[in-house]
Amino acid sequence: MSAGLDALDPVIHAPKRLAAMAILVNSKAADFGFLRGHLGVSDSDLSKQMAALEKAGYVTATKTGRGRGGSTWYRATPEGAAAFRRHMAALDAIARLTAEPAGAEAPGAAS
Amino acid sequence: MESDATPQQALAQAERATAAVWYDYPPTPWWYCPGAGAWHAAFPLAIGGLRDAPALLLVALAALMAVAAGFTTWYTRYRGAMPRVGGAIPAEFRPAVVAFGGGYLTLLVGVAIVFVTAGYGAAAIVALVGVTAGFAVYERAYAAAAAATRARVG
Repeated sequence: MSAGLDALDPVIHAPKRLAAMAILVNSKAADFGFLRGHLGVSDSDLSKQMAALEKAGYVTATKTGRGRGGSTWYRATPEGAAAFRRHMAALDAIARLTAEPAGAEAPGAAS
Repeated sequence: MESDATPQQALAQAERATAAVWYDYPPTPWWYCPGAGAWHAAFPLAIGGLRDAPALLLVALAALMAVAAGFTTWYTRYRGAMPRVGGAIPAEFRPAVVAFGGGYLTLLVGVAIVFVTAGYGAAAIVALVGVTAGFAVYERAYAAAAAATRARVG
């Protein structure tokens, strides 16, 4: 269990950043509006979350256009995609461990 | 850690976000299917009609590529996020995606056969009708898959 906990990425573990990384790893890129709409957060909150991912080197941001028609596009970096996959594998391992006791009781209960 | 979610809840949240790239999309414009049909029909027309003018043919093919690139850029912005090739595909979308790929390849072969046997005009008509109808069927299957996925992941 501790090995699984150690493998959790503290940057990605926050729910909003986990959701943002799940979107970005599975898309070519996503714009600010799409992420804000799916995550259900304010502009300032999303900016803060994305800045943390950018600082970790997990995403890059590109601004397109200017003024009202402009938008910011985010893209997962290879390092970010790898970190997301490691984090998901760790989460999956922990989920299996925490689910095991119920299933493990069956043989003992039968004997 | 900033999260009090259980691992199962975090996994479900990640799955929901992963699927959002597929199911969360704006209405497809009415001209998308006939436009795709016309774009595909332009290939046999250009190749057959300009076969004796290679320079013009190259210009026509380059123009068609530019139209495709322009549409892809516009549609990506319109949609806000496009699924990545090689990314996770929600189970509900797999039958539609596989059928689309198979149907598309079959139609391309069919258009090529008609081009050789019946001429470029007939091939253009087959491409226009086939792609317009095929894309319309795919759009309906995609919308149904999106609704099913949205209902599953909440």
